[in-house]
Parts: sequence; structure tokens; C-alpha cells
Amino acid sequence: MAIAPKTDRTSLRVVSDAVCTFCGCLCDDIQLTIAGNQIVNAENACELGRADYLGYRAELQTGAMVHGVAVPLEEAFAKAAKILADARFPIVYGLSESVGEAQRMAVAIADRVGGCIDTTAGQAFSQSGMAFQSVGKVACSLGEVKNRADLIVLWGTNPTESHPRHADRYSTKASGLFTPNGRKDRHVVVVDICQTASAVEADQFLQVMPGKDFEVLWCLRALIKGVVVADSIGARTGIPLEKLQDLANRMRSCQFGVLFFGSGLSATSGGQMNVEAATILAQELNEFTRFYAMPMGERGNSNGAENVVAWQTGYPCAVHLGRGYPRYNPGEFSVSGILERGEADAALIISANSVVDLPQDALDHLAKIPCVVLDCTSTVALNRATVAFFVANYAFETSGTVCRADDVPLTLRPAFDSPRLSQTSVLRGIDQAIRAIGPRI
Amino acid sequence: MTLIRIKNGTVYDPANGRNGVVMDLWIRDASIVDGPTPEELPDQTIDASGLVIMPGGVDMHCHIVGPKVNMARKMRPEDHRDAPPVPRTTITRSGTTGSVPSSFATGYLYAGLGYTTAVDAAIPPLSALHAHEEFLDTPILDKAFLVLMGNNYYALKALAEGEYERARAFTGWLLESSRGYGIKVVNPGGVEAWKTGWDNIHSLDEKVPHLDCTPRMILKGLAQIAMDLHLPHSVHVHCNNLGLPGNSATTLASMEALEGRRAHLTHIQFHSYGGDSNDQGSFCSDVPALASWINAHPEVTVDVGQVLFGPTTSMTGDGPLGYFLHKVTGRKWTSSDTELEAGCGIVPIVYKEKSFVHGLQWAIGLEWYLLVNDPWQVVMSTDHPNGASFVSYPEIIALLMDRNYRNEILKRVHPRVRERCVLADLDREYSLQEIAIISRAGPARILGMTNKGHLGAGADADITIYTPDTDRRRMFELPRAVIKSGRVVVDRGEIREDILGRVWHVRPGYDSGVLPDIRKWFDAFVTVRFDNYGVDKSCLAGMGAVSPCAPKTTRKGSVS
Ligand code: SF4
Ligand SMILES: [Zn+2]
Repeated sequence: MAIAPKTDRTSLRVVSDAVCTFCGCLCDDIQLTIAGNQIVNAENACELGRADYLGYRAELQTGAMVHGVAVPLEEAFAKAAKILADARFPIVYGLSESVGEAQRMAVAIADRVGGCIDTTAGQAFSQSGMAFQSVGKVACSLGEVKNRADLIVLWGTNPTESHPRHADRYSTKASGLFTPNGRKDRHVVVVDICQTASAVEADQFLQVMPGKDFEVLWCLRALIKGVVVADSIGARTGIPLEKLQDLANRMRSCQFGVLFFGSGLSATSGGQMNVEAATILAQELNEFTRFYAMPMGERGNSNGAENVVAWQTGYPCAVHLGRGYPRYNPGEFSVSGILERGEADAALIISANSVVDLPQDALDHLAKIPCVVLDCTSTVALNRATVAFFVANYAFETSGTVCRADDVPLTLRPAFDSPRLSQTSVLRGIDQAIRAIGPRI
Repeated sequence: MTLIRIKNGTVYDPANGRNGVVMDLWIRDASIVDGPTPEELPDQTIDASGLVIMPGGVDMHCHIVGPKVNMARKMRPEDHRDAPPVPRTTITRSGTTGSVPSSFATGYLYAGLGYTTAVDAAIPPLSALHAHEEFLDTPILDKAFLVLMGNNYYALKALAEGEYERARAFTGWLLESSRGYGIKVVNPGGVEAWKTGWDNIHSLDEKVPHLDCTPRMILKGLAQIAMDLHLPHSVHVHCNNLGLPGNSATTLASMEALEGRRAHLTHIQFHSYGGDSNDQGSFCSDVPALASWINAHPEVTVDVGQVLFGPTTSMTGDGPLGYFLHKVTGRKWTSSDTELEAGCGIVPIVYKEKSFVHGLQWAIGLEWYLLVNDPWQVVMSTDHPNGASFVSYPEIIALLMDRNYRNEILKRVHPRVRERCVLADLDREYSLQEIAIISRAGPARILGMTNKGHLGAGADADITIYTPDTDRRRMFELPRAVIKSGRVVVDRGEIREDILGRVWHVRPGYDSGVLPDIRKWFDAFVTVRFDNYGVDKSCLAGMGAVSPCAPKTTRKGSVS
């Protein structure tokens, strides 16, 4: 008979100001109540965050396995090191469910073994990151929006469902220094291909035909400059000219406007062009007022991963270190491409979640090569791994740095100590074992 | 305990009055010591006969870490791709160069030039954690950063409301919580005005929107706070109207506004322009007037922000300036504002020899070195990477030490440059001792880093050994050896040991009575919880070192 864990009040623990990693908001005001090895309350969290916290279950498995057989950690470090050091073309992949310290160590390993490193952001990055590289960006930390924005445009994003507290903490409903009345002090416009929950809450909803975002953004640029636009734009894009003219007027005359874009704009075909258009629009609006265009942000710490890879190598993702120094080519060196073409001969995967989005051909190749996998739950990838490390859950069991979409760094406050090593410790162990093998230049 | 003897070097150690003295230097572990008793034998002897010895270089104003620098890396892959990479070795990490090198490359390149300390001049305190993490990946150098405060809304509001004590306590708290080193002021009030929708602030007595506060009040207030907190470094100021023709009037007014307080005016080259702000053609040098003011005011120091010809990346905490440069260059532009604290602008730029404006900027920078009488008051900088990369320092040294070389280049630049400045008339040539002052002894003294920039007993054993060469550029480009914390880290350009330097910060103390008010402010206006703001000691990974805040005479370094 199972005995229910005791949850009498005396055993309750509280962690204040914890950071929720479930969506890109990274709310840092969560008050966790912990009973034994379970989180029983997550005050301030939204439903998504609460469900994530309350769904936490302590994993029982610890240590490491080689070919499915439990081995001492040192042995696993040595085996992992040998796989990576012997490989001709190893890849290091993942990183978006990792804190900064682990990310730094992962790049160090890629450098030492002359591998290719990519973040899971690699794929999303190829759109908005390329846009950034071609035109730049106009962004701000979310508190600027909270304190100043009187016009908010949500484009291809539905934060009411995907980022539930974005409105209250940062944007449409947040009250701030120059926006004391919160929602009343702002005009909110949603542009999307269908009427979302966010659209219902907006002052204005502009329904754009799928694939026509770029044209609409380009038209807004023209209108802002006073260029005459033909009426036919309405039939072509789904948004009548007078509505676009009205939006253009609002953009020009607002005090502080911001366009938040989501995957509906950036992760579609032509995403790079869309983000470039939104960015240029915001840049040009700065002739008249302050205007910003920024991404909503993703779950996890992919932004932090990009930052770490960038400061250590100079490039944000898809970096190949095989020639002894960093080379960057998102087309050629993205991990999904390398795997699809069957080029990699060993892999270090940090959190198996990162592989689920890979194309099937890539997954097929991954199944054929020796893999070192770090994960906190017993996933398929972990069980199949040549060397598997059961690591602490980064979101609940480790401290360390995560980075919000607006580049604000935050320190995680773990709810639990873990009996398992952190990703950082495991990666350090592997790195030391690689060094022990000796130089590879 | 390791005892090293550096034998027979020709020592340039201006802080201790040694000007080319042939002598031995002794290092015990990480510090310089007086010569031991004759019985004690060194563990290692470095024969420096015929070689020139200086303290390790100190860069007091550069941009090497933090979100702004990293955004520049991310935005400009072409900048790295076109530049020679740094390959990994058995002991070092690989990296990329260009105007914004990767973190490891930054450390190795500085060390390779004989620099052992560098101060990042512009970190928004909200991003302090990011800056510190990047410091841990920036090897060899000792580092510190200045905290952006000239547009910090809480500080401006306290000053506007006449609550000096509150502003001072807030500053003390902010420096402690971010583990910063000093106060940086960028375009006082102008960035906040920009965020409010204005184009900028143009004069010292213009009010910041919504606040009863002017650039003058910000300058005076923060200069006084730096003095009252006994910070090792004075307030560090980037004046209003950077880059605009006619801005020398603003610069002079800023100097006067200090009313005798200690201050450091940074990248002064960009603030020394005569002419009419509406007419680029009227652009001319106003260095003689400004430099003579500096010559009469020993309490104020400057670094130059030298422009050198070639491609680089402009990056600034001055948001409206970033926009201005974007309009001028038409190139890609990144702007990134930090809530109620700071702004940021990044734009690629090419300084062209044949451009009248760029040529004049180059000349104006050189005039500063040559017209300030006391080299202790002027510091060599390029405002890396704004005027040029720090790797150009040997070029500046060559220009200062050799007037023929200088005049040769002056002949090549746009002909109108010679009419608009006095550079052609300046015969002064720097001596090695003066170079040692403007590149190490002076900046260390101005920063208040008492264990840096000199070779007296008790100093950190950060030492550069050069092979004398009449080609000054070659001499300073490739030191014979570089010693950091008593270890030979560079030998003829090769990194021999990859070590991590310290991160210097201050703990000035503050009246904790201010905390409830700051907490209230955070609850209402900041998107990060008060208790999640700032940097935990553990984030310094044991590399932290506290620079004491005390009246100058009793200051001595300690380690935390
Ligand atoms: S909005 Fe996002 S980060 Fe905030 S509590 Fe909900 S899921 Fe967590
Ligand atoms: Zn600067």
C-alpha cells in the first residue's frame, strides 16, 4: 500500500521571487510553496506556469549509463570524452534548456574537440536573427514598454494564450510611470490571420490574409512617408486602405509605440523578410517618435544560448570549430543540415527536448551515430544514448542565469536540491576528461 | 612562494620617478617586492638587459562586454569573417577578431599588446549579471566596469527633488548590487529625453522632460556623489552633444559646471568641435581652448577617443547618437533601451582618410595628446571600438613619438583638415616615459587603482617587457614578454599561460534607510523584482576584488 507523503504545515517550504521558465515572459515573482518533493502552490503564476510547477515530479534515476548499463560517473565522463575526442565531426546541440554556466561549458567542449555547435534557437534564429544581421533592430527592455508605451501592436502573436502574463506585467495592461492607468492609457492593435483571444481584447483587430504580412508592413512604411498607396491593397492583403492609413497615423503620432511579433510573423516562410520589414518600419518611425519592434520570446533559454555562443565565438549559432577557429554559416553549419546530410559522426545533446523538432532524416542519422545525452527525464533519446547522464532539471533544481527575450538576465531560484549533477557539472566532467586525453589541435 | 628576478631592464615607471633606470625588479608570487636579502635566491631569473620595462597597460575606457557589445557581435558576422581568427591551442580557446572580438580573443589580444587591465565604460546595471559572466570568459585581464547612471530615472528624480542624500545612498546601493566600479554619465538627461520622444537635449540648462532636472544638476550631483562616497574613480562623463559641430561650447560649459569637482571627461575628441551645428562645412578643431582649460584645472582629466582610419563599429550608451549615426551612415542600426536606466546605439562605421570630417577627427584626437601639458591628465584611448580597435594603440604611440610620421599622414588626409586645426604646428614628440604615463601610470592613477600602473613594492606584478625599436609601432605591437600577476602569460606574442584575472568593484556603503523607497520604486516600475536585481557574489566565481573607498592616502587594495 502506498503511503501518501505527509504535507502537514510544518514541513512547508517557501521560495520567493522564483523565475518561471515556461514561456518567454520569465516572470520572476513566483512564490512557491513546497511540501516534501512536490510544489503545492505557485502563487502569482498563470495557469500555464502553475501547471508546470505543480506537475513537477522528482525523478528517481541518478548517475550515468553506458549502453544502457549504469556505470560510475568517472567512467561515463571518460567514455563520453573518448567519443567526442575521437570523432571527426562531432556536433554539440541543445542549450535552450540550460543556464548560462552550462552553455559556456558546452561551447568550450565544442571548441576543444573541433565540433560544430548550434542552439535550438538555430532554427528560429535563421529567420529573425538573419533579419537582425541585415538591418539591425530597435528594441528595449520590457520595462520601457510598461512605463511608456501608448501604442502596442501585436503581430502574429497571441500572448493571451501563449504568454499569459505579458499583458499585466509588461505590455497592454501594465501600469507604469507615464501610463498610470494601464490599459486605458494605451491603444492596442492586433494583426493576425485569424481572430485570436488577444484580438478580441484589442482595440482594433486587422485580419491579414496569410502570407501578406510583408506587403502590409511595406505599405505602412509608404503611408508613414506620405506616399500614396492604391486602394487595391485592401483586396490583396485583407486590410482596407483606410484602416492601414489609420494605423500609420497612430504609429506616427503615438508617444512610444511598440510592435511585438510572434512566430506568426517570424517563423513562416519569408519570416526573415517579414522581420526585416517590421524592423525597418520601426527604425523609420523614429524620425517622428519612439518606436520599437521586438520578438515575444520563446520558452526556455534560447536567447541566453545565442548570447553565450556569440560572446565566446563571435557568432550566435551554427558555428563550426573544426578548423580550429569559429566559422559561421547558418545554411551549412546548422545542426539539422549537418545531420540530414549525414556528416556528423558523434553528438553531444544537452536536453533531449531539443531534438524533437529536428527533421526525420536528421533524427535517423542521429540514431546511427554515438550520442552523449544529458537529460533530466528518462526520454527515448536518453535511453538510446551511448552515454546517458541523468542531470538536474534546470528549471526547478538548479541555479544559474537565464536571459529574457529583451536580454535581461535573471538568476533562477531552485525549488529543490537535486541528487543528480547539474548540466554544468557533467559538462565540466566531460571537458576535464577530454583534456586528460590530451591535445587535439 | 615563487621569487622572480627581472634583471637589468631599463625601467620606465613614472609613478615612482624611474625614467629609463637600469635596475632589477623582484616579483614574489603576484606582487612586486623590494629586492630580497642577498642570501635569498630567485626561483627564476629573466634577463631583461637592453629591454624596456613598463607596468602592464591599463585601458580605462573600452567596450568589451555586456549586451551592447554582444549585440554588435551578433549583428555583424561580416566584421569577424573578414578578420584573422584566433586559433585554439592546447592551452587557449579559439575566437574571432574584427572591431568587436569574441571574449577570449579580447583577453588574448589585449595581453598580446602588453595590456593587463581594462575597464568597460558603459554597463546598464540591469545587465550587470551578463557583464560579469562575460568577464569570466575574458581571460588574463583584470577588469572592471562603470555603471551607467546619467539617465537613471530614480537618480535623476532624487536630484530633481533636491534629495541629494537619497541620490547618494541610491548610488552606493547601485554600485554594490551591480558590483560595479564607478559612475558613468552618458549624455546626461539626453537619453531620457530621447526615450520620451524628444530628439535630444542640447544644452546644460535644458530641463529633462517630466523632471525638474538639467544636465548641469546631473553632472554636479553625480560628481559630488563620487567624491562623497570616496570612490576610487571620479565621475566619468560623456558630455552632451557628442559629434556635433560646435559642441565644444557644451563641453566647456560642462567643465565649468563641475565647479572644481573631480571628474574625468571621456573620448574628449568627439566633444571638441568648433563651427555651426547646422553646417558640417564649418567644422573645425576647438582643442586649443579646451586643452588650455584642462591645463588650468588639474582636478579634471580626459581620455582621447582617438579616431584611426578604417572600418569599425560605433557603440554607445547614447541612444540619440546611435540614431544620428544611422542617419549619417545609412548603415544597419541597433538601438536597445534599458528600462529607466540607459540607452544604446550600434552602427557600423568606416573612417576614411579622404573624408574631411574623419580626417579632422583624427587630427583633433592627436591635438589633445599634444596640447595637454601634463601627460597625467590625458589618457590614450580609442574608446574601443568607437574610434578604432584597441589593437591600434601602437599606431597612436608611433604618431605621438614621431612628428615626421605624423606629418606624413597629415599630408595624406583631406587638404582642408590642415586649415581647420593646429596639428601641423605642433612639434611635440612624446618620450617613452610620457607614453608610459598615458597608457598605464596615468589611467591607473585616475581610476584610483593603487596597485596598478606602477612597479613599486606592493604593486601587482603586471609587467610588459619591450624590445627597443626605432619603429615604435613595431616595438609596441609585439612585446618581448608580458607578465600578469607574476606569471609570464605572453612570450614573443605567444600566449604561454591562460589565466583568469580579477574583477574589481567597490563597496562604498550607503544609508540603508533608502532601501524601502527603492523597493517601492521597483515594485511600481521595474520588471525585475528588487530581490532578483543585482549580482550575487557567487557570480564572480571567486575572482572578485574590492577596491576600497577611502580618502586617497589610506587606500590599499584588498581581495574578496
Ligand atoms: S506568463 Fe509565462 S513565465 Fe509567467 S507565469 Fe505564466 S507561463 Fe510562467
Ligand atoms: Zn565609450
